[in-house]
Amino acid sequence: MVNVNLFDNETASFWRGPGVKPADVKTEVFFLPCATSVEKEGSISNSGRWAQWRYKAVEPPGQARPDAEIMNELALKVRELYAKEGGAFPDPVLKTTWNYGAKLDTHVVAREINGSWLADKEILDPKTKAVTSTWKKGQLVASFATLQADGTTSCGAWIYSGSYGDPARKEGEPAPDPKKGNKMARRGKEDPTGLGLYPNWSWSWPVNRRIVYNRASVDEYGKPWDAKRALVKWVEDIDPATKLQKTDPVSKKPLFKWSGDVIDGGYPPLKTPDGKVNPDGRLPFIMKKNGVANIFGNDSLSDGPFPEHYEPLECPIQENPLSKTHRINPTAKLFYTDAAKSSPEDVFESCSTRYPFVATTYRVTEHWQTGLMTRNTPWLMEAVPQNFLELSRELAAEKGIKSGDALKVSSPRGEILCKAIVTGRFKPFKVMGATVHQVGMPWCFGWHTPADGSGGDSTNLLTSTIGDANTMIPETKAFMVNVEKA
Amino acid sequence: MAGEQKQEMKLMSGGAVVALLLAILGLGVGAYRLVYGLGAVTNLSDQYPWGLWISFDVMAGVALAAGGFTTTFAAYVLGWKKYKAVVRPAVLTAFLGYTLVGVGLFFDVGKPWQLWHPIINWNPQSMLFEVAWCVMLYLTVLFLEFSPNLFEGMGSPGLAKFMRNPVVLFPLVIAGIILSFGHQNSLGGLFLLSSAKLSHLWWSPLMNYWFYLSAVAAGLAMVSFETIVSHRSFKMEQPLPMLDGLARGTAVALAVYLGARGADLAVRGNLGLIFSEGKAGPLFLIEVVGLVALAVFLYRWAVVALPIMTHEEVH
Amino acid sequence: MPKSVLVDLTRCIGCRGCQVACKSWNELSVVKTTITGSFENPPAMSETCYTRIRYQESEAGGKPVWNFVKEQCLHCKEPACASACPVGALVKTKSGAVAYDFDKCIGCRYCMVACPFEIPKYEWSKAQQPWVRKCTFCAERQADNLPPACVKTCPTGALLFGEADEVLAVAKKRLAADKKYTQSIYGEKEAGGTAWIYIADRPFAELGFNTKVPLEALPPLTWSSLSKIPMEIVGFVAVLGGLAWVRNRGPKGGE
Repeated sequence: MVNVNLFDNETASFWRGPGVKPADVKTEVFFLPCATSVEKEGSISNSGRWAQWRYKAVEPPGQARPDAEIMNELALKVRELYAKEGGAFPDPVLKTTWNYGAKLDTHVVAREINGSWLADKEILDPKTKAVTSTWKKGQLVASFATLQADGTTSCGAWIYSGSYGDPARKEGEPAPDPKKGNKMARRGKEDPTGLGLYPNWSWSWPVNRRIVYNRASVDEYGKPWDAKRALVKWVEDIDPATKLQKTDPVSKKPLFKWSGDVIDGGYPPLKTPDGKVNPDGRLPFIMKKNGVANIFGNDSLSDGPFPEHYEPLECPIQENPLSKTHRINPTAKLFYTDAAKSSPEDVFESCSTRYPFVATTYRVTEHWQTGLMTRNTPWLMEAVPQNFLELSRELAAEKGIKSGDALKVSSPRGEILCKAIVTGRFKPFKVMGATVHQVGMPWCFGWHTPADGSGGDSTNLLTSTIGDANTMIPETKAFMVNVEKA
Repeated sequence: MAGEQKQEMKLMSGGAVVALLLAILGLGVGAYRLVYGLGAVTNLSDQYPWGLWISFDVMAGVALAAGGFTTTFAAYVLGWKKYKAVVRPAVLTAFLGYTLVGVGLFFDVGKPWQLWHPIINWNPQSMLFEVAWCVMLYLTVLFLEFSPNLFEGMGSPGLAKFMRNPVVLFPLVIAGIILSFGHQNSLGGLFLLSSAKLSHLWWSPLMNYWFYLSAVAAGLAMVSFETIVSHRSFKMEQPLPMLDGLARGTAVALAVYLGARGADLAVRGNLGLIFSEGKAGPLFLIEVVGLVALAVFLYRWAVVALPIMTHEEVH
Repeated sequence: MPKSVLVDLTRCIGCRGCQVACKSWNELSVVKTTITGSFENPPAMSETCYTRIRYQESEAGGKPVWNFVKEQCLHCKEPACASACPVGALVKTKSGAVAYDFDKCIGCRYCMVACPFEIPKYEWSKAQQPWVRKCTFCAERQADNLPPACVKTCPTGALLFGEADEVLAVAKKRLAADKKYTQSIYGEKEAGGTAWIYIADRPFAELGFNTKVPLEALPPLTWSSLSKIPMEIVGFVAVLGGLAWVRNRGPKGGE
């Protein structure tokens, strides 16, 4: 196993975890320390599709290195071995273009992902055969629309074509720094639409379009549904030199264009000004089957499209009150079938008196995900130092538990220790006449850090092994446990 | 002076050995404190920033060393000759007492080497600034008051006579009394700021005067104690008239103290706090009524008991 | 112009960004903590913790209510600690901050006794150069026209930093505009008024505030006694001098 991470963790050190005898473990583990985002240069893409370029602020400590450098060196070593020893099929390894050299430059990688021209090319209009654009070998690809199927372009990811450009070159002046063409590094603070698009801040895929399907914001005439929030607009195409509307050189018709965000599908509005359907128009959701939005995004779901109530794999009641035939989702991926064939970690017990309380898991502000980084941050550990279980005052009274008591929490899959927090924010439920108690725990702790084990082990040791029908996400938010004073 | 005899003294008496051992232990702990910090040798905390060193060494210690100004007031200002004999030991006690308070403070403050800073950094608004200056000046006065004895011992009777000249001595005595009033006052006044944190069974805008009065009583009591013990050690006869006078003085001071505090509580309508402040009420009763009344009673009784204990007659 | 901060407790979500930002800016170390029954940690402000959030659970109308309270030095307008310090190591500055000059401090800890809010903490563990530790109002950041680190970090706008009179005006406006607020401002009058003021939608006593703090400044309590001293000295000199002269004149006067 190769584990590349900022800190040693439960996974990398599984072979010396609680109850594991290193001598019995047959896996060899390599731990490669890597650099954090402030210790290397590169881009980070957010969920708004902005790829923002970031810079190196400090050197990584000790032997830590950026992931890209680690991969580069590994690749070069693997090629070296293949070259020396041969192998079953060396061609894909040895003949792959891998021109980063010993010291990898992320700008080179960014330009590769953007794409470049491998040969000179003239692009012709399919109808008129007129030349619409000319490209020289070595130029960077400006848009995925110009990517070719004839081998004249190379591109790592079409959605990023245009993210890196060739910087403008002035006649007689020395060649500009190629990095100036990096659109992901732009930091323009203008926001012409006022809608927070900031089109010159960084670069969003694809082609810097900030909001996809943006023609859904206008009516059939290209007029924004909400004049106060105009995202795109069908407007006169004005020549900036003459200040007059441009006209088509052939048909002499006045020209219009879309203003605002980079238009998604440069088709004219669905109707012409006289109210007739425009044959060149197209519905805004161009990647969808019918050109309109879906309530369910995926065209093929294992279950759905309409919601149905199923109980979790482990639940406090015998039957699903809303379905006579199915207690749990029949298309969910169940791992445990029987003791002979299945793993003991996957066992489950529903509606059992041994595990009478509904457990859920959640986060705390101070820790992130499983806590690998935040458990190594002293200020955060001071604020939330160890695993805890929150329970209602009613359940606490029943079990004689006081806030701060050490607790043992168990499920069919394991047992962990933590501290109690008694709170009025949990209240017992009345479900089909019976009182059902719910408890909650964070899932950010693990045995490895802090080293003295005071943080407690991972809550996810307790959760059930069943995957969502469509996403395979495990059912970590509803399972049954028992809680006792430790 | 009448009644004194030169005595052969054992330097290392039993008491001296004990004192020496304690001193060595104290110096050891003091050194540890200087190297490792207050947290290493005390149980002080953010909730209790002042502990035994401040409450016992500084406050009680200063009060017990108050014999200096009370006896000099009696002997010089009031001209009561029978107290002249006790001035020397009282001033010595006061001088040693205040010096040791300074030593104690040296170890108590967080930055001992800067203890002298109130000389150069002033904050006249601060009660503690006043304490610092009064104590520093009073130490000087005490030293000057005691210096005749030093000069005699050093073989400079001329200087000794000069220091005893009323023109020099009386201003020193008056300065000493005023400075003592100043810092006893301000020691008690340290807690004026804490009106919301202290029970009003003790807090009063006049509480600085109560401390002064208690210091008068404590000083006189301390002088009595050291007179009895030193006369015992040197196998001299007890100066009963003086002791009787000191006892009565103590009793009067305690009575005034008790009366003033009681009146203050009554006038401010705080007598009811005795019953409404939980544990503070009984503690107050024990302290004020119990201790003070008991002491007053005992001192009157001492006039009867003392002759029996010392086999002497009161003249 | 003195600055002030309005802490609107109805906007605090208990994220503790302020607590961590303060530690980060002041490079404070940590202590080993455990969960003792609530989310509060560390258990109290200390030499390594200038500010922290208190978590206060209760019920209103049968529903659970969770309040979060940021505690730190309130930077009183007339600080008791500054009047108490014998060497003037604590001073109220023009910017509004109650500033600590470590070089002057002798470590007497009278400021800790004096503060009605029990704010100053001491570095008991340090032998050489122990400091009194408390919120500094980020005076060095303010000198560069930056807000305090906690204010900068707060994501909800619970901390409003500005000129003292403007901040107080905003507080009063919010109280008037919405009756959900308890109609009083904590810190407006407490201890004679503080630079950090609070508004909330629950009574302050139920949020763990010290409501026994006097509504006047504390330094006059000391000053009213100290200011009598010159007069007392004159009186003493007159009385003692007179007495001494009367009692000691005549043939046996003096020795």
